[in-house]
Amino acid sequence: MTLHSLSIPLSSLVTVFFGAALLVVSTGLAVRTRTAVAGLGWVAVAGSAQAILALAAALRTPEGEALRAAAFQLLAVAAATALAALCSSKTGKTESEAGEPDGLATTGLVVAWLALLGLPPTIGFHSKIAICRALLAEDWTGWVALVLAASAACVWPALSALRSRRLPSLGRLRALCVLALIALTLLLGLYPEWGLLLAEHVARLAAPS
Amino acid sequence: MAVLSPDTLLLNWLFALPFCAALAAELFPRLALRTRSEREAQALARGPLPFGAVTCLMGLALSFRLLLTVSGDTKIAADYWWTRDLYHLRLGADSFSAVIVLAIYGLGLLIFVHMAGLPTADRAHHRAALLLTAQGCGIGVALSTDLILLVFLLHLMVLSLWSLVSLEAPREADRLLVTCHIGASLVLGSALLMWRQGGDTATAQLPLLLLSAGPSTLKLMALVALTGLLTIMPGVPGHGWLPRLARATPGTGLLSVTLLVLVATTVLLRILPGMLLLPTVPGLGSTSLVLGLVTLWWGAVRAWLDHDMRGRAAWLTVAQSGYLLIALAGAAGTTASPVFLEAASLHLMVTPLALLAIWLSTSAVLARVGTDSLAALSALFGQMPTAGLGLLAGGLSLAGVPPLAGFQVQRLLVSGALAGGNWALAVTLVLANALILFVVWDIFRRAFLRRELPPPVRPGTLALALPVSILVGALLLFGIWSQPLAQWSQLAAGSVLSLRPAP
Repeated sequence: MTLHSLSIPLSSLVTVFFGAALLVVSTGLAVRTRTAVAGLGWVAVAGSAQAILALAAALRTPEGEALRAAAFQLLAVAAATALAALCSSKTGKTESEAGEPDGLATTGLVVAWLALLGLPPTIGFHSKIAICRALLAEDWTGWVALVLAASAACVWPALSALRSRRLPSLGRLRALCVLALIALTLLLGLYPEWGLLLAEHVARLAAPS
Repeated sequence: MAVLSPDTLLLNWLFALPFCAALAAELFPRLALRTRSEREAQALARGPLPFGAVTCLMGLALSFRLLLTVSGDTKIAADYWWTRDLYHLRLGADSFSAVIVLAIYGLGLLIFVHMAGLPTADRAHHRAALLLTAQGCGIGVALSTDLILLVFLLHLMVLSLWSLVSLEAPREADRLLVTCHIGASLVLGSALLMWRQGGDTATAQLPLLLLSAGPSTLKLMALVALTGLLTIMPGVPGHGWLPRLARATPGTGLLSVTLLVLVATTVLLRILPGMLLLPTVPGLGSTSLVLGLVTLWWGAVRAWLDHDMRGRAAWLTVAQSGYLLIALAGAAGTTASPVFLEAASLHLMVTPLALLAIWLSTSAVLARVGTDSLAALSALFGQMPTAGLGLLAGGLSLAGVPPLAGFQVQRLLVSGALAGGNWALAVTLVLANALILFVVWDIFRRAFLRRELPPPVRPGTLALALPVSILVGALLLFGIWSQPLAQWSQLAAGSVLSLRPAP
């Protein structure tokens, strides 16, 4: 252990190792799992683990931008998971009864996966960069590599989920919610400032007075 | 109130045009159904393809205007507020990016005309929209002066091509996405390291700020970026997706791969020489040389061993990446010769033309004969002379045979190696060229000249023949009258080495 790393507070050290372990385990389970829903769930956990890594950076340097990055990442994961859950839920009809796959549900699921993977043009891309920048500001290059590697590895469950599923058609209210979430995820991806402002507000509430 | 200058407006419009056209192409069938009868709407189903061609023609005209504007020392820059403190949406144009934008619109025009001439154009509106989106992203990458924006658009381009190729071969499209996502993530990693070193994501100031970085940091940044781009270019070891994709698709999805190769090469030339100042990066030259030689020879040998036109075209595409890496290696040496960077710039302009000529010829053979297996093809030259000439011109240009444009690239590479006293490299390059020449001649001989009963050939159209003829003409013209191309490549090389336009 170097002198530099000795200067890290114990709480930050414990949090960063917990976050990293959670990221590795959840990414591994996401890649290994055979069902689309479980894969999505584990990737969402991996996304939250990235926020924990940023929280560890915030514990070390509270005045930095890490807390905002963590809030931003949680916002992205929440939006993507909600979107995926709405698209995946059945509305009483079985897939065979539903006939042709629903275009809106499929689009919603694709957008949700893109956000979880941290790919453009979604909010997930910017939250991933915010996390990486927060970690780099603490000289934690290795954890940045871990975040990028996890993002790359999660493409496998995403592709198998997208290729294997035929989503049934959505009810009117659910379709409206899906449409709103798609718009939000893409809008914040193309113009991330509003998402950052919201995350900053949340981070200010969470920051020590 | 700020007023946009005409130059900035031109820059914005060049970037926005393909995206607007993509939206229109996607909505085309619905608009047709609203205004026409169902029968008329069906007859208009292929409409988005000529529409894409017209869009590219508009873009081409605007690109010429941009090229004239930035041909001197003039540079255009536009800085937008994307986020307050993280990064800005910065666009800019110099000679290098103007040439790339021109090339993307030019190649796009030829691809759209070719696609319009193919007998079947299933889901034409999706194809046109996705190809236009990919073009728009490529143009954005060329015009981007912010590292994050550059990675954003590179990722988006990969996603558009994934969707496009998914229409024909979903499994292979997934392989493309996985490989290129890993590559783009590595480029992002390198960009983040540059940000940590430079303190900003704008490319304008990075070269100077990076000079303060230690040798190991510079080496890490350069190697991570190089490895990432190898998957997209594609070079060994990140090339695996292309030959598999070539076998699985009938060709139209693959035409767009030419754009991906062009854009990845642009990023490589922009990031490595422009930002890291090649000679200052320890070990980059030798790594790039080894990777270049392995890519060149592996591609050429596998092309020789393959048995169909698509497979050979894919391996020739891999092989050409080797030339670029060798040129970069030459430019990265401690006694770096400017000839190598000029060769790399020239390669960037000539090779997409040659590759597209090969791919369009292969696609035309597939469309008219129904197979591209060399065992099943014979005596096609009488019925498909344009495809034969396109394949020959593209392949011979890759091999550096005069009077084709590729000769100038090989001349610069070999003369650079000889000037540096590297006889072994010069001999290796000449031998690799000879092998590529043999591979191309073998395809031409077996498919077009062999005196056996020719397979049944469907009638061709002008739209299939025209793009190939234009490419053959361009390769010959730039080979014989090489002065303008040499001037452009010198301008582009100078522009790559100089700083990006100031925000």
